[in-house]
Amino acid sequence: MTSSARRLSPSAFSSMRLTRAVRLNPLPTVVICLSALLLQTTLPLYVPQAGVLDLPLIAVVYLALIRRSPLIGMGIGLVVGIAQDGLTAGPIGLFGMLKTSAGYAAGAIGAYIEIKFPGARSVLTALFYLAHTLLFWFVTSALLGSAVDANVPKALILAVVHAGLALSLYKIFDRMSPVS
Amino acid sequence: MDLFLRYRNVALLITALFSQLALLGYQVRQEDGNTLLRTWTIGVLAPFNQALHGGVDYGVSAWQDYVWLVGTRSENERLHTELDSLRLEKQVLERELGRLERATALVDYQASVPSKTLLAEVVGGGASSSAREIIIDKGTTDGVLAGMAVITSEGIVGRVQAAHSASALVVLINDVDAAVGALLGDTRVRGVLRGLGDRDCELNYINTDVPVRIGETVYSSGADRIFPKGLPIGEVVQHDRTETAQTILVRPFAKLDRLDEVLVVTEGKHQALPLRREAQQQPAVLLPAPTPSGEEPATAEVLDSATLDVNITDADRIRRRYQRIGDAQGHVFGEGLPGSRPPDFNLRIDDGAATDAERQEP
Repeated sequence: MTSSARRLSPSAFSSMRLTRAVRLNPLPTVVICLSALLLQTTLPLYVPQAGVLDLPLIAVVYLALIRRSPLIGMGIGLVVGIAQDGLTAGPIGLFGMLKTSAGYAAGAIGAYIEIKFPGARSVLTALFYLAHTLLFWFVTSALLGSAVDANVPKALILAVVHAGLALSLYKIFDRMSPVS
Repeated sequence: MDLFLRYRNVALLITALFSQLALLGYQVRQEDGNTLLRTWTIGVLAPFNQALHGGVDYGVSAWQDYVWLVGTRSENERLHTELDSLRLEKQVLERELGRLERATALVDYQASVPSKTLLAEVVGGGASSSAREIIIDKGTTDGVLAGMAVITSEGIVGRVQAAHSASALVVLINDVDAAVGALLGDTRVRGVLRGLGDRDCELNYINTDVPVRIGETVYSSGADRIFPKGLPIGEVVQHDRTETAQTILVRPFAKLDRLDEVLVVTEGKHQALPLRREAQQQPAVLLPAPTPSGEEPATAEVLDSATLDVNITDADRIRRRYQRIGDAQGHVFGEGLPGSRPPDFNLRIDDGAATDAERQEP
């Protein structure tokens, strides 16, 4: 087996796993999630353009990345997504599925790659937003049979917007010391 | 267990996603009112359900058609028996229908002939294999006597040889011992028709100078005092002429080998023969009636067969006129006793029914 193959093998990959213990503080975690949800519902009342943002997604991605656990990320995504569904008129489970997937993926990525650089987390947030949007289109059109405005340029722009927003929010979240 | 632990995260993710998917399906209702969950469930399970249903049907069909055949043999025999019975019933019904049609035709013919006849059914054949005989279901109690003629609507059949109380033996005209007075339809030349024991009969005693045509109809002449004159017998099918004799084969019109119902002539009456063939087809010249002296005689006229009665003469015209006068007064010639009142021969009758030839006064 070559050295490059060893680096890519599952055993070699698992050896790269970060073993440093990370634990979410419950209070900051709950505050972050509730804040995201509350802002998501109240902000558009004052700034209508803010309705295109997905603040719960930013919060889920952030918490899952810093917790570095797919299961915890999945759980956070599940709870936040279901709560977001409860705040909408749509069916329960739609955003739950999306946020669950996003939280799982972000937790998995955070488990193998320690991302401290804000720019990288921001880019990851943009990518998660795109994936989230694509998955939203698929679920809405294919499974629910609803009409979808699949505006890809708009999605790309919003991904950049979310990346920029994540830069600011993640600094705020970091000051809340959600991990110990 | 190790496999589950190894893929625990993925399994939990899939479980969470599917749980929410199910939740979605439970809530969302489609246009037809069904929930999405039900639609998904049906969509997923329907192929398996159809496959299961088809398999069960196939299995049941295979079991019933190829394995579980208890009673099939007896049912097959029962159906065969029933089929045979139905076939027999069909034959009986067809035979009855044919018999009814023939009987209807015979009854119609019965009303059209001047002779009185009695409808009889053929119930058997003769005891001799060489003889051409039949047995009918009418006998002396029905008025059938030996020597009576037996006919069908197609032609003569034979004569009653022996009559019993409820049946009678009829000798057909193609029997070797049968003979019928016959005449040729075209020339009216008389002869004797004799049976050959076969399908055809032979017409004898026809002179060699008499022209005979294939297809010519042969009628009964009445000379045998059995068959009334004018009944059709058959047609000439073969004709050989030598210097000394003619051999004429006649095929009877009546289907002597397939007789079912016949008419027994209980009171025969001779009937007129149809017009001769040449008279039917060729025009004839007829002289006008003589005129008194001093008048310019009329010229002869040519009349076609449709308007010409070629046999009529002045004597015939007188006889027919007197016949109509007698009919108009209800008088029957030949029945009045001496001294009885004769009919009024000066009675003016309507000549509308008379032909042009008859209107000419003699």
